Amino acid sequence: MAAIEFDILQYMSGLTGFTFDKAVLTRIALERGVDQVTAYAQLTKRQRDLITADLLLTAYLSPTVWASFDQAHGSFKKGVGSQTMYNKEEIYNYLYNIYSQYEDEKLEELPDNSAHVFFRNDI
Amino acid sequence: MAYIDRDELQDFPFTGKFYKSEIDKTKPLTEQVETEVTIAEVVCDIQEESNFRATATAKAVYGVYVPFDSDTTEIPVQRGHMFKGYQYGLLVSGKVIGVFPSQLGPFDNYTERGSDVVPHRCRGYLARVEATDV
Repeated sequence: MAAIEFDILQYMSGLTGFTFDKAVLTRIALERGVDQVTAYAQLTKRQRDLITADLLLTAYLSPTVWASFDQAHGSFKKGVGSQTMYNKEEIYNYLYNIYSQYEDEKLEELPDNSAHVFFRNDI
Repeated sequence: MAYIDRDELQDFPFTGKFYKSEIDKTKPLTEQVETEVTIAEVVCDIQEESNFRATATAKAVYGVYVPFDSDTTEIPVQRGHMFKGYQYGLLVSGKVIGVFPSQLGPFDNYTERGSDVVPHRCRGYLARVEATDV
């Protein structure tokens, strides 16, 4: 069996069960500074975990049902999805734990998932 | 590929040219030869629309999809012109049997007018090319 060729976008696409746009993977690769990585060994566990969290954050902030995507040329067709997310809370907890573990700056950007009670005096 | 690449397909990956054959009849008969006059060199997409095969006969009709700026030019291609294009080295050549423009894009919304030049606004046109040497 031939050696597996490493491609960072391909690798990132396998970190979660979601099928993302290439543009999403590219953005996260650039933001995490791994776009030039050419081998698995060049990635640290921290980078792998945070990329996973970034992907899950994108999924978390996406609509619950993702539209399907189809391409066709002549009689050749291929499609992806649609994809449905059934439990956003579990995803939120998972990515929250990763950001917390590494005290990543994204932690501050996370939407607060806890229930709010506003008092009239606060408004 | 396990991700969605929205740029994977190019709209117009091929090149080709529409041309006509002319003979300069002012020359003496012995000097009259067919010359190729280029009508338009284009980027395009080429798709087979139908084919027909029988003993000693093989024909195919190709759709040649061409982008076009209707604000500045008119469609130069007419029925009867010839087309020659290459799909990754594969030659597609034949005679234009219809030209259909579209306002929406060159792909779906064509009007089958059967006319030679349609000057109303459109963003692309479809030239049907019948090839007999498939």
